[in-house]
Amino acid sequence: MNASQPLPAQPTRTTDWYTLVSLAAILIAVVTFSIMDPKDSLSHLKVIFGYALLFLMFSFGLKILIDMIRGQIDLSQLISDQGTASISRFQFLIFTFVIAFSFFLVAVSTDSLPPVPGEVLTLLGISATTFAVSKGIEVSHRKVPPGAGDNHGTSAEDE
Amino acid sequence: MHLPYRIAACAGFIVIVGFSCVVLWRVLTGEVSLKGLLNSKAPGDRRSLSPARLQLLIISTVIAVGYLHAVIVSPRWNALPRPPGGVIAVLGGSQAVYLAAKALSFFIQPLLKNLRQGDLR
Repeated sequence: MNASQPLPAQPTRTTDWYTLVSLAAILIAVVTFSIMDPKDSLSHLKVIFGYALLFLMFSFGLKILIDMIRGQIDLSQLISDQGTASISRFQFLIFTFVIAFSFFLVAVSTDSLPPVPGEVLTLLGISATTFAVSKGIEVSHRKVPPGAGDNHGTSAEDE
Repeated sequence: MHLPYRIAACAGFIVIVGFSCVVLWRVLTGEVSLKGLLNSKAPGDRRSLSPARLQLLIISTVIAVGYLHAVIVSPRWNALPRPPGGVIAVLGGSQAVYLAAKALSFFIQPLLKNLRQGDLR
């Protein structure tokens, strides 16, 4: 082989990952199809579609989780705003995790998606609104030109 | 429990608990910084402890933990438990206090300070 010839492109890790996921999804679909009753093709299709969706969502979640663990997704600014931690982001994060975990527990125990009471949506809504309004206050203050409302100006260090 | 539900439950458990654990780990190791979480951030102010932030943190944490406890000890797991109206009112009030304090420190206090300086001149 001539040393000056370019080497063939190596498959990336991302390609390997998608190939693995696709192969596993096809394998599950084939196994499911083979063990089901062949007369009921509609329920076959439903089950296969359900498995495929489940696998797709799980692989997305797993990929994000692995990237978070490896540090490829930067979490350092998760609850930070302008360099310091933000309490509105922090409480929003807490409520999101609590409601998601609760919903998951109830969904697993009932084998179906449970109804979400209006009070829970209100709770999340209050939390999210606080985050948005807090951000709005900071942004609107930043837009005020120095000297218009106060004589401090606003620098990045102040924020 | 049927096989698809079991697989979905395992997948959801891995993802949700995994996200929570990674975020918690990063917070504990300091990669997700909590520096200045309870400090006032108004322009021109010294970095001091903000009571509005402190009460928001306490009330949010208590309500979140209480709700999680209510879900875990709930006798019937066919729906999410309804938080009482009083709890929602307390949370809403707490968040309103925080936002009012923030708006005050960002807009009203600088204005009053300007007026006072104008009077002195």
